[in-house]
Amino acid sequence: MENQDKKGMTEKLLGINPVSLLNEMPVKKNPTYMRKGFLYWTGAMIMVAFVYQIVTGLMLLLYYNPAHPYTSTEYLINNIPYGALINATHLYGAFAMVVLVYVHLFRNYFVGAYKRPRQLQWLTGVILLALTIGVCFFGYSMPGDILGYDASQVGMGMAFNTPIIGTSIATILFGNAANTASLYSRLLGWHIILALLIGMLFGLHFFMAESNNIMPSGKESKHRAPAIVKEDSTMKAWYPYNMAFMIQLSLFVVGFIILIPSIVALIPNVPSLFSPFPGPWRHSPLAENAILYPDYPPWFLLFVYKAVDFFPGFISIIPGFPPIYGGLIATAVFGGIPLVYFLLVPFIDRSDDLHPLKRPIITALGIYFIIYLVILSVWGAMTPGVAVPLQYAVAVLLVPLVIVVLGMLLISKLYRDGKLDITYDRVMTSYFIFLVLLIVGVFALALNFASFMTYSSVGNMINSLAAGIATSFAAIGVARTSSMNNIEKIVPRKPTVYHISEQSATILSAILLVISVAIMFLVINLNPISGQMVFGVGIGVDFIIAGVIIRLYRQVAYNE
Amino acid sequence: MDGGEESFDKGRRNFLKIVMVASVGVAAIGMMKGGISEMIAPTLGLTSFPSLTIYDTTGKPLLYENLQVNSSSIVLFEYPLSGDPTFLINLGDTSGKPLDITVPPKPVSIELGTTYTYPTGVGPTGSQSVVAFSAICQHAGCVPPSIHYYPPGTPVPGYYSGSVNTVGLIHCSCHGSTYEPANGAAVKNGPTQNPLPGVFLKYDSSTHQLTAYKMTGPVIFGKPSDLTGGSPLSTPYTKISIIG
Repeated sequence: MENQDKKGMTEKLLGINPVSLLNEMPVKKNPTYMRKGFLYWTGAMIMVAFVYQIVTGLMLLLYYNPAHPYTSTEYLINNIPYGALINATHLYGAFAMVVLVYVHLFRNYFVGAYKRPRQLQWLTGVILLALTIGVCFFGYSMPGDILGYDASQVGMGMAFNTPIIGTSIATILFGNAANTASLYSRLLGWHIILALLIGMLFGLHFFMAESNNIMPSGKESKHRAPAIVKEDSTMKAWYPYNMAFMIQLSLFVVGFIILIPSIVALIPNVPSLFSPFPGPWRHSPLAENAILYPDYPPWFLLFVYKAVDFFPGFISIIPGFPPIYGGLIATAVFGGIPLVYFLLVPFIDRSDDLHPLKRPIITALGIYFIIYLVILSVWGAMTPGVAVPLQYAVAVLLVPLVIVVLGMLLISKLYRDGKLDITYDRVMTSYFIFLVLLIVGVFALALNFASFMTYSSVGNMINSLAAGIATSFAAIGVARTSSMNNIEKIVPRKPTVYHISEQSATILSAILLVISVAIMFLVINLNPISGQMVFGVGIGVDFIIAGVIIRLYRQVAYNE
Repeated sequence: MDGGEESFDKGRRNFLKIVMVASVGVAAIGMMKGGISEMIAPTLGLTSFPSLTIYDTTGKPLLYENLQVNSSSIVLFEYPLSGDPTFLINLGDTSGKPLDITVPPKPVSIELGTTYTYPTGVGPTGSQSVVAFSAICQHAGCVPPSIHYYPPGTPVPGYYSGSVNTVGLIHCSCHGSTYEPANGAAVKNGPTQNPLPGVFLKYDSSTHQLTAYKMTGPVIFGKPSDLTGGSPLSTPYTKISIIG
């Protein structure tokens, strides 16, 4: 009753009913089961990370000076209150975006979300992946430290060595190389332009997602396209149910984006690939230390970077024409082919089957692309810049492809013959995880053992042992899970429902709030320069606590 | 609204709502504090160049005649802010006589394509030989004693023999950047692309005192601008320090 009166008051004051306005927003209602976990909301999580990136990016822009990229960044870190924290969380927010974009891509790939009616939504999504990697590349180069400088030089080299239009491309992207300001104002410009393009394309992607609605579970769609949830009267309203969920989700995402780099910053000697701070100035003696600062690109480009080692120097492809720069071929082949494949997949796989096991080749290629990304990235991180003969590289990459495709065809046949029951989902999932682990493990073992044989050291002996143990573990896992597939009866898992009484929820929330206030009280007056990373830990934890409190409220008030 | 909620006690519900809003509020307070503090531009530094008389190590004004020509030790003073090392050099020729830099100075060019002129040296008429430059190498930020002045006739290790170094050079042993102090510390040899920022000096012919009052050329290496990124000197003068 009191609530009703309050609403009446707002309505009288404003002449509108805010709740009905919220429910008239062009956002769809969603079935309750989708709000159980985060699996249906990977796209929303990317959106939260993207908004965080825009806010922190604009705050960094206030201090960035393209004529003195490194000194202005160091100035921000050493002299501006909370400057280092905002810089570090902007970096890790970008990392989170890249990881989440990949998770989002592969999740939607495996459930067949690229099929009708979502083909165009999928296409914009793949373009958004490319734009995200692009914006991260330019951003990573901007501090002008040794790592960023190396990255921009590799990019510039590739642009310049593009046949015919190379100089134009390079000057469009990197300026006329006259001086520091020319290069870094271009990097800043493209960083912002690409972020803007992401924002605009994301708008399109988002509204397509709203009009198609979130893809329902396989059970609901019966694994047939088009998989659409029809809004009906039994669905709960967007406000407050979905809004509370969205706030909870946002608090978790932002909380972890702040918490993780703050903790990493407090750990000494973090490898340069994951350090939340810029590396040394590119001309300083420290920058020439190849052990601390190998010639690495950002980690999300390591896979292409290793591929460059397969094509050293310039390679003549068409007789009579000038040879082409190897790095360009590597990027076109190892970055371009997966991208084109993902762009074309809605047109290649046009069947109405949504079950991963009914699309064995498609599913196998998806698993293979994950393995491929992991293998090339790990390889690139371990032996950066060491040339590899092309036939060796092809062998290394072909073996997992054959294993995965044959394995999937076999499993798919079992599934079609009815020997694999759908309730074996969990066993299947573990089987795939173990299979992927096994392939990576065998690869790591081979690489470490080879280096142990050529040059023995304690380091690579321990690495070989660790890889060996991991491989055996994965092998046992594969054997166990594959044999489990033949067991006739598996006790079906009872859905675990975490029920918490109103009373416990109330007490727990109150305790959490007290802890949250206490943490804020402890960290808010720390020195904004020397204590900012501890402050970051506190803020991150407080965000997560707020998320947990909303989760508790949704449990007891909405029974969700 | 929907079912399953009527059973929920109203008092508890309102309490939980307050807790929920408060917890988001606590996190938001921290976020606001961080964000707003970051956006407030620091007020450290100065708004204009200070005029500071140079004092010797004993705390008395440094007189021109007490500044050794072609000194083998490095003489530094802080300008414009505390902790900004600046060379104070009394240039001489090969015979050790003060070098009179009264010829109209040549323009000094910097990386951004612009040029500027560093004024003549200061001192009594006929021996206007004292110059001052930022002592942080513009290439990678090396400081004395890695970078210092090599008087004419002395070899620069690994780069120039004594016979080539005829006018005196400031050389940085980190990566080999070399500057010509008699010509506004213009770049003699890379990898640096910028000359050393110049400090304007005044010579009082009655008291023989030296005063630093302005700067020209590129920004001091490692700083967003000459006047920010540090705190002003706490004294109305700047004292020299001597290395070696």
